[in-house]
Amino acid sequence: MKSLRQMFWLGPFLLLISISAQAQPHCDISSDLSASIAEFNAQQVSRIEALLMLGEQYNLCLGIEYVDRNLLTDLVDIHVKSGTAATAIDSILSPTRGLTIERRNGAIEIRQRVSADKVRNIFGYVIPKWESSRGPIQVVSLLLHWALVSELNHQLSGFGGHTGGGNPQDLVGPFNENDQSVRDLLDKVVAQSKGAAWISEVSGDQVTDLGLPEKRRIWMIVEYGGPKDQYPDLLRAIADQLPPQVK
Amino acid sequence: MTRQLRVAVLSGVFLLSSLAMVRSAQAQVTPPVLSSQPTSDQMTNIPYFTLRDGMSSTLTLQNLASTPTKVTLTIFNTEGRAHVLDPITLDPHSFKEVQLADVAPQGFDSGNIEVAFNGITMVVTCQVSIFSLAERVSFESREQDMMDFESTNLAGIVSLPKGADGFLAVTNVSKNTLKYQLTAGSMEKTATLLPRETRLIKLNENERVAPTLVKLQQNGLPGDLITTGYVLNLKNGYSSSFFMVDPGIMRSSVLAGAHFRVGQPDPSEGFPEGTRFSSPLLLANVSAKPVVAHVSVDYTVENKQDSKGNDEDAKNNSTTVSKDTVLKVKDLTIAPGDVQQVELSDALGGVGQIAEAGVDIAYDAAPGSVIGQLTSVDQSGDYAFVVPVKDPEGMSEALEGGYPWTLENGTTTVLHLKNTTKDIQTVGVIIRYAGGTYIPDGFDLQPYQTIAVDIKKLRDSKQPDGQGRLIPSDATQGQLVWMQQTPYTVIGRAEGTDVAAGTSKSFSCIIGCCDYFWSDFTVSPDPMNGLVGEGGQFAVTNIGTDCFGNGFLWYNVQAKAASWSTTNAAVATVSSSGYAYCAGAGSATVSGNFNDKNYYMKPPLYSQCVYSAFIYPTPSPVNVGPYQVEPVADTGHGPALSNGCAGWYRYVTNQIQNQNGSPFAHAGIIMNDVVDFGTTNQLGLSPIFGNPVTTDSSGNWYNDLYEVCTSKCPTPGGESDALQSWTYNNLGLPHSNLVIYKCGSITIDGR
Repeated sequence: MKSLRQMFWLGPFLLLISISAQAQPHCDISSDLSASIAEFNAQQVSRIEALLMLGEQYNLCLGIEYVDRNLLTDLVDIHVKSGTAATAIDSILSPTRGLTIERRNGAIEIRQRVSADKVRNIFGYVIPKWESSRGPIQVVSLLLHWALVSELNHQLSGFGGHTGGGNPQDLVGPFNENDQSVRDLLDKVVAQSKGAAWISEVSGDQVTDLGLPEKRRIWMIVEYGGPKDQYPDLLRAIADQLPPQVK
Repeated sequence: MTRQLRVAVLSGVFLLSSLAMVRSAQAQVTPPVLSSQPTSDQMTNIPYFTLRDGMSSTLTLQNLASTPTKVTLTIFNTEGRAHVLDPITLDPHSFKEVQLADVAPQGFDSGNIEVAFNGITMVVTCQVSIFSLAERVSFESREQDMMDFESTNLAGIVSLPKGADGFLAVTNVSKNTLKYQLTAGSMEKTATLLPRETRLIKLNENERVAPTLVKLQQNGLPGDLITTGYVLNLKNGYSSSFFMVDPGIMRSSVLAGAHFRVGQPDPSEGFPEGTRFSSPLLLANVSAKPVVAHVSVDYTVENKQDSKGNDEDAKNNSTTVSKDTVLKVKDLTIAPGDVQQVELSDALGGVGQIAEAGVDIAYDAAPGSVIGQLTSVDQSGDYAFVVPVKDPEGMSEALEGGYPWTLENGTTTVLHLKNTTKDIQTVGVIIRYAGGTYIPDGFDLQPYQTIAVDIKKLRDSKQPDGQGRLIPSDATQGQLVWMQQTPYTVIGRAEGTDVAAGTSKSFSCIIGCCDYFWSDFTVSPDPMNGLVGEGGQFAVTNIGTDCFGNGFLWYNVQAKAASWSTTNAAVATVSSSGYAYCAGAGSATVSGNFNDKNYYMKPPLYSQCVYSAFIYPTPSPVNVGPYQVEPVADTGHGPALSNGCAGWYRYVTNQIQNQNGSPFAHAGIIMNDVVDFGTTNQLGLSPIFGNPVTTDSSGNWYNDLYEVCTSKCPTPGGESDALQSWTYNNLGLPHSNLVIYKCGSITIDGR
């Protein structure tokens, strides 16, 4: 049955290739934080948008676990010259204290240095077993979300709903993972992509609310190489879900 | 990107996406059903041609129709003997030149021409250009029709520069013998003319330098006697025409001339260095009482900007600043039968390089009391250009002009248009060439302004017209047509100049009053989609189609609407310039209400082109905020993609829509949804929510995955019904979707 399903997987995706085929940047999993950044410039962008632009330009797949409204909406000019990925990211996020920048699972993770109790942090929640066939990254992300929801509430018998399918050419998986945190799984998902970042859709206060995934999505996969003006709109959508912040 | 810039970009996207939805307003306002204008046998006459004394004569035949027209030419020699040529078929919207030396048989070296065709009135125009390249002289013999005559009296002004001779060719186009009486100063002649006979009368048997009034009376019917007057000096190459006009066709006390030359010409025209032009205007009083005439000129001075001081700007036409000025020249009191002269260049000394100029004469007497004659001439006399001085409301004027244009053999053709009123007047222009049409945006002529449309400059500028078309760089001839929106307000002519040869042609025929004219207005965007707080500019294009199939275009006329209105100001308001503001969610219809015109010849004499005005509404829906999301394409489906459960998946392309189901074409809207399962949930589903997506410029987003996956599948006949409520930019849509999940299907609103 599984092999038959995989055939069904691929059919519609092949059909969809013509719809949104665009040359995608790749995700360079060999890059580490010492990767050279010759120059990076961005004008009047939010800091998270700058991270996405940096990732897209230098093929760095990112896991952005920490976000706040300021990082998502305040517009700045960024100019980085002759540095490393670490110094570039640090420069972009410089006003925000207490963040760690770490390369894990083929992605560069950005999160709070002192995280909450791992059990209580949604992204630190460990899923005992997660399987997914190979499929478009947005679909796999949806399935991971459902796997998390199912783990958090064993009473659920099934789900119905929808998600934006994204680029049907950006296939990731298959995955067969045991005892991995949501964070690790998301890292692995974006690391296999043609270039993407996962971004938390919850604030530092919300990240401990394990009931939240049943109410809404808590991360977003942003694929690189899409429409040029998509980043501000998507980041604005994330910001709108966050509680107001005192600047 | 600054916030402001981003807002601007979003607005631009909004407009661009809306502009893509351009649709004719015909859908709302049906134009009149047009029948073909009736055709009939038509005939016109050209008074004179000659092949004598080394002169050549070229007959230019112009077909203004969109269909081929067969023309029959009859050449009459000076004695009135006829020679009928084989019919000539003129291609649609084209002109043909006939060298009369090639077709005139022996014994037909001078005379007149009859042009006959079957078609609508004035669909074929014609004139003969008489010239000598060796002597560097040229003048025109124009067709004359019934509308040029109201009486049997004609008058003209002849001015003979020293050494020049003046001639008047008179032709009897009636079937009867005519008797005519000619007076020119002290000269008086009475003679008879046989049918179709042409006689050439030398006007200066006695040496005469002063400008003189020439009068001609005949005993036939109006229009039985037609004339061509000209002046030649073969020693210095001076040549000029003068016009014998019937003062009875004049209906106003105004005369005007489009484009005269003064001072130094533009160097780009190619005249020899040091050339300077003067323009003596001659006015004659043909009434029985003294008349006061007021002469003024309008002129345009072009100042080349040199902002960097490096002469770079001067090479760029876009940095040329035009200034239009109207200047009073002189008031003249003219005694009955007297001719007075005003040198127009005297009033324009020191104003700078004049790019274009025209003359206006208003006189305090009954229409037809004053006639005028104007020739721009250089100091050598070699370059002389006749400027027709007309009554803009004269019987021979009407609505449109159509002329041939050519750039061959170094000739340049320039269309000159002059507003003869104190109000802004609008003109449309069409330039045809082999295989195509170029339609520049309509021109708004300031009060009394004269403008020049230089075909070569327009071609070489590679400036696309409103439909993105260029005049091909290898286009060297064609036809141009102009149309005034208000009859009798604008005069026009095309002047073709071959500076090297020292010859020129001037075309100024009017081609009538199109009672089959109809116009349409298109508005874009249609519809306009916007979000609350946004706004957008409506752009309106006026398309006018005349009797000859010419489609004139006037772009961006939205500010000329008599009014703009909205059906629901709570949804959309609109400014007097057609800018709509999205006030609240819903749909409204915004209309620009434009003054439009129908033209017709005024009964009972059918001698005057008039118009009836009406309001033409141009409605366009304004949709403020989208109404619903609907799947518009199914891109795949099958068994559920998730592991550990069974069910179904379906990929769709979703689209954000208006209430009527049309796309809410607006990029960058953030779409989100909430799924709520109701009481019918046999599959035990919990909702799972999508991530935000953004719309493209069509209002679409692709690859939306709907999936049901449950441990309760397969359950034959079981289903779970969900209400999918969408938000756009965090605002709720009025319409929610009913999604029915089954183990083997997913339907959205029944689709």
